[in-house]
Amino acid sequence: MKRGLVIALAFWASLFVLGGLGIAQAPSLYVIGGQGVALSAGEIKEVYLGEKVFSGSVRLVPVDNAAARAAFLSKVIGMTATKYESIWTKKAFRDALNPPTVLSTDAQVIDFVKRTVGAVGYVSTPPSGVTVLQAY
Amino acid sequence: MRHIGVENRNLVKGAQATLRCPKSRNRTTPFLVVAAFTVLVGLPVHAAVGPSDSERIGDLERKLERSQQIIEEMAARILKLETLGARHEAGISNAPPTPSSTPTQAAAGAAGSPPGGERAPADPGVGLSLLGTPLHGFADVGGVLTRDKRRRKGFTVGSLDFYLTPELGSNVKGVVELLFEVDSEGSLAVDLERLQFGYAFGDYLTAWLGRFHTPLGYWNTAFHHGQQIQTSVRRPQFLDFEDKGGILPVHLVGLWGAGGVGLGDGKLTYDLFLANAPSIEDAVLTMNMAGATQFRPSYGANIGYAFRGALDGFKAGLHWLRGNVQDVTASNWTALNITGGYLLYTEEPWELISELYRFDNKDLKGKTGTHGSWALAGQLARTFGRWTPYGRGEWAGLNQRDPYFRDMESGRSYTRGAFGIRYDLTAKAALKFEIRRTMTREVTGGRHGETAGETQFSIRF
Repeated sequence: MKRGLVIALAFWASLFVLGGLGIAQAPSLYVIGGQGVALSAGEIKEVYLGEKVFSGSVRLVPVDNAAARAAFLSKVIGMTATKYESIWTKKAFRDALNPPTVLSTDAQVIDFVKRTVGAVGYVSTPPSGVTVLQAY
Repeated sequence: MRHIGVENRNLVKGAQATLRCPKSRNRTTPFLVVAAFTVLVGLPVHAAVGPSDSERIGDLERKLERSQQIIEEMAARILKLETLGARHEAGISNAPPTPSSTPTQAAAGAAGSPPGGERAPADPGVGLSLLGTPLHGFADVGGVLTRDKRRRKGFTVGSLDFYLTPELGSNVKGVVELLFEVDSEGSLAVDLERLQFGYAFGDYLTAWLGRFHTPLGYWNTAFHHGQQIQTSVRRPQFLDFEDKGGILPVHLVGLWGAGGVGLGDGKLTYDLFLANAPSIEDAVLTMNMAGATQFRPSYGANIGYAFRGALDGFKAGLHWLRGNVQDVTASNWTALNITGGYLLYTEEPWELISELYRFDNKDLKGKTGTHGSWALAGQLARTFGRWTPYGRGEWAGLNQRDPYFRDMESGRSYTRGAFGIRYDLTAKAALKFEIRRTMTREVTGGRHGETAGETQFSIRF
């Protein structure tokens, strides 16, 4: 009896540990695109590093989201904010590419993406009315 | 009644005995019950389990915080609108600034400007703009110590560099760069460093016209006068600016096409240019910004490949420049022919920059034939938190029978070793210290050695 209870308790404990490690987690970051935007996960990173400026003939307009920037830089770009801004400084200096405008909230990003051709942004809540390019 | 055989009877008796046994009954049944319960309940729960309770609470708190932020912003806007309305009714002509008048960094070519958009610097600071055009810049000050009696020593003012990057539509852009710098004699010089306007056809091609940084190697276009984004205090001597002892035309005036295309896992980049050929006047290279009485072209290319995947951070390339250079003072003509390559690794925490230049210059006036020369530099740096120590080696073997080098004040063979360290005070300000030892071969054939220590405080904005 005691052995059976111990085994069962161990099994339950392992379930909670694995759940805590995020074996099954819902997306917490959504990259969204405006009209004329179709990007793969790799291309999204290129857009936000200034390596991809056009999608076909459409000029891409990426925007940062202050509320979700830390998560975006960690999950999608894979670098610190300092490194990210350093890259954009060099891009502006060499290639005359200005860094993405920073908007404050998910609502502002969604609004901008809806009304701007070529816009790319990211939000932390499931958006409606816009195309989700990638979920992380 | 069915009869049970002897063997079966024994089996039944054995089973009955097992069931009647208290130990086995106590061991098996509860275990089976608990295990069954766990399987029935635990697996579906496990399939649905996501974040723990504390994570969900944290997530909800963050969402609540954002909602509160939105409410506060809307309340502030309503208050401003009410105030504006009240003042208008009272007949006051000076209205307070509206939120939309704050500086933004929105791309001018976008279909609409994002409301409330602003540049978020990594450090507390202000994104600058001039008449709505993004304004950036660099500045540096410092000091130099050397025993060389020919060199100035003491505290120094370096340069103040402003550059604008206007976007004049979805495809049209420009760079306007103005430089204020103190020359070797201590005088203030002003230079229209870059004035170039371009049309972006796509990622594969942007065509530029104007004065631009010569796309040879990597260093010249990546850093140039951007002291804060450059790891070291000084750039390699042979890559220095024309009026500071450089032997290469690092500025050109003409046409420049640049672009990149995906190739395999990486990216192929290219630069093609056609520009005014430089001249040598009073032993210094000049780029003929206003053209020349007799147009002479210089042209060249830079082809590179940026690796991705396992080799992410590596880039290798080849470069070439050709042009006839007139020495106005000495009345010489040289067919300048530069080839070479570069290898980089720029993935943190390491930085490797190496560039090689081969000169096969032909003496057109004196008919002394073609003369070969070499120049190469390699710099390695490694970042440890805010500290970045670095080391650099330079070597230039410049044939003095080549009139191009002979006529230039800085066209002397030399070797240099430099060691330094950089400390990032903030993301936009750096302190650097460098010690370098330079051995220069004099015109007379002798050697001149110089050891110098230099410190630099550089910022970007």
